[in-house]
Amino acid sequence: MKNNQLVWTGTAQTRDPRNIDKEIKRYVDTVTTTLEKRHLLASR
Amino acid sequence: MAEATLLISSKNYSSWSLRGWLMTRMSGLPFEFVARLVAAGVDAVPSYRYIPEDGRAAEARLQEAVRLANADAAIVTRLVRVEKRTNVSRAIFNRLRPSVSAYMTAPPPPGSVTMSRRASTSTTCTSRRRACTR
Repeated sequence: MKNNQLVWTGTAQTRDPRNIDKEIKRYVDTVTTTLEKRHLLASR
Repeated sequence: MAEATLLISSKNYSSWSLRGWLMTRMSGLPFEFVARLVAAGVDAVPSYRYIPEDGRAAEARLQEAVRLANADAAIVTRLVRVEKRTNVSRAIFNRLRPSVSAYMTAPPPPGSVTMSRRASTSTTCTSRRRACTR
């Protein structure tokens, strides 16, 4: 794989986030779960 | 009742003024990302260790941070766009542009004006020196 190669990108839309902290957790969970499913996270 | 939507595009009063507020509120995002990745068994560090200043970092600055961190990959999240919408119910529209006959027959029903925000966020995962796969 070449240097600085884009391996994944995603866009999300959030409407009226009432609780930003909860929304951040939800967003992070969505992204990391997706990366895990696609085997894009390397273990230690 | 059907609603009409007005998109306010003034930089002073809509998306641009909301960007700073949202970015401030989203400042916990890197911490949450790192915590979640560490929990998943990934060695992850927040970018502020290498890019302490606020604001948008240039591409060269990001690459230098990745090099200094000796990272295999970088995950970058950007706030792309914030829209502020004002939804005006049909009754309010009728009241704003009344016809004579409407006023003569009956008063318009009560309407409503509601505000909503919609934020678009983009996240990218870029590999530096080898495949990110396990």
